[in-house]
Amino acid sequence: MGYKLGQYIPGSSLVHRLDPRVKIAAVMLVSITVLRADAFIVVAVTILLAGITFIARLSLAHLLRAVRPLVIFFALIFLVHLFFFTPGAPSPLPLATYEGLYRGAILTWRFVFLILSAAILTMTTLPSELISGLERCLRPLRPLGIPSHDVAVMVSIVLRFVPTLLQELDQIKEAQMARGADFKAGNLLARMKRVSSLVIPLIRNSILRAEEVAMGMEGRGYRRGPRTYMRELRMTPSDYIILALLVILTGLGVYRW
Amino acid sequence: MGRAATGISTRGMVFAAIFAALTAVGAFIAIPLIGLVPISLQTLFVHLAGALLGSRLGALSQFIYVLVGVMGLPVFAGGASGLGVLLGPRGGYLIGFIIGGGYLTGRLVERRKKPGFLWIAISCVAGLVVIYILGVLQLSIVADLPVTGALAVGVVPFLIGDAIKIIAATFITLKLRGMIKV
Amino acid sequence: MIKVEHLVHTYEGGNSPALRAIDLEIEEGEYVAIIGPIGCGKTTLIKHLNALLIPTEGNVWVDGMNTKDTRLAGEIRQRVGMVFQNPDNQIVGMTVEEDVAFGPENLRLPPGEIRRRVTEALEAVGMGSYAQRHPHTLSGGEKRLVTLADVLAMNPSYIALDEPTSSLDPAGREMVLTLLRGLNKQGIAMIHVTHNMDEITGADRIIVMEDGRIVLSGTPGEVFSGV
Repeated sequence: MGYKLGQYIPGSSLVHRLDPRVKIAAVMLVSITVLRADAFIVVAVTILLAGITFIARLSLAHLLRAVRPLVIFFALIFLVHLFFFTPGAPSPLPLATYEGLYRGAILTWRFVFLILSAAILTMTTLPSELISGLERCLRPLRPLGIPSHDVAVMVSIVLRFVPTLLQELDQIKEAQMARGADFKAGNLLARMKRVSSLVIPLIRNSILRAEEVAMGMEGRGYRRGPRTYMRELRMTPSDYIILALLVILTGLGVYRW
Repeated sequence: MGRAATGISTRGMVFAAIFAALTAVGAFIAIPLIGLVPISLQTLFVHLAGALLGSRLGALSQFIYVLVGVMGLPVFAGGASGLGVLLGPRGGYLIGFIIGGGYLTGRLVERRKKPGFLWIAISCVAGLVVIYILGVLQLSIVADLPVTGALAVGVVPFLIGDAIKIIAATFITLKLRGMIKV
Repeated sequence: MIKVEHLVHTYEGGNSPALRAIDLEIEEGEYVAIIGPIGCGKTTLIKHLNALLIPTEGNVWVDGMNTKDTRLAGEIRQRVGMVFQNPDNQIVGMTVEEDVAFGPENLRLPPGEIRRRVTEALEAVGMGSYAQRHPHTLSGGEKRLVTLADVLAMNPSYIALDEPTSSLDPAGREMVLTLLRGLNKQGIAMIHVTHNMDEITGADRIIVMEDGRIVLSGTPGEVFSGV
């Protein structure tokens, strides 16, 4: 089963070594800045992301892989803007306007940034570090009733079991194909039946699994509420410097709104 | 979820987490439909989370699912991930999974002691409507499209698939609900 | 010492009790095997030993602590480690070392102490080099060893195991049994549930269960001559 937990690309660059909290904050800040970006900010953020990509020793291919799942959607939005919903002076392209081209391009570029900044975070941060970072970032919300410890445990269970459930799905599928089920033929009803025959055992097993997992966790002394962690996060001077820089840059970006 | 989350047992937490994982798995399964693009099973599991787990755990499971994706793990449709997806054109659907698919569907199913086929299907449809309203709103705002354009891009292509998934979700709920005692 | 006093357990919605008046004492450092057909109540019994189930009637005492006192559940679960039949559902960490850290984290130990225990526990089961592996890439036998490291990291006085060798090949089975005997020699009491006679010849005591009752109890010599 080729499912990879996250997109982590091992490395020891400055970006890899940054505290996960700083990296999460960075993605948030870049996302906010980019949301209402004009051409100037778009160029500035492009340069910033290019710099980070270089420092983290990531390649263009890595970045493209992150954008690929959404390419069609982005293309659709770009084309819709180019050809329809934007009034303005006509351009050499039939039905298109220069305003449409400009707006479509900026919009699409914004979304690509949102995806890329998040992709760089996951490519340079281990999933377990991300969870630790997330748990720490959610701690201030505890007085509001959002239990950061329990959220972290649930996220960890999801990551633990997604690959296992995919393996299980494959096994169920193989067993049914061995019995002659063909998932690509037949009318709609037949296909629906076959999908149900795939999904029902998966859910049934998952329910039994959940019971056992909960029992196992309690058997190991789990109870909701505060716990300690093996992994400690410590902010270094370089973490503070980079965080400060990011805040200043975001401030400048937002000021331009 | 705030205060609601404090009364949840370890079992409830694990059920929510496992259904979050199933929703992620659903995003990986695509069934070919005649003459149409393949549809993913993701929203099938969104309906099931609400219908089988109820409002609190259903919403919690979808919240965790979105959180895992936002953290950058490739669990959204097509293997996408990241905060960009939530803030981007498709983010409204994800919020809809929590409020519509998880919470509202669960809430409606809970209103009846032993809901039948029709009631479960209606609950799922209601959840789906919320998913689409939030989805179209965000799509039209973020992508700067008029609502008609957003509907054409973000709803119409999926309607047949959704009808099929809701029927399947209803059957599966009737079949498996006896197993869950949360 | 674990002391089970007139224990009756009826599951919610069940017509007849799963356990009918069990009396049992388990000493520190003892190796006790519990054997009996499927549905005889042996799994139910060991779930009572670390407060996962609460007696319908009677009492269970772990080192003087009554399992009915929910405030003591954490302490009891630290003393009595549980190893369930299906290792896959006992592993909740994304990596092996994070899974082993789960128990000590629940005990709210300081990070350095957790790290030390995780390393020691993984070494003890010979999985030191697997610390960073993802659970879904492990074989059944390797998963079983991880679940043993899970309980060892909690420093238990007793370990209750439900069919710990089921679905293992003969080599894996032998390895796990050797490991259990080794841990027992270091002073950890073992409560080993099985339906396989071959596995329990080395036990200090064998308990035979049937239909929610203990029908026979004694040394392997006594029990086997009685069969």
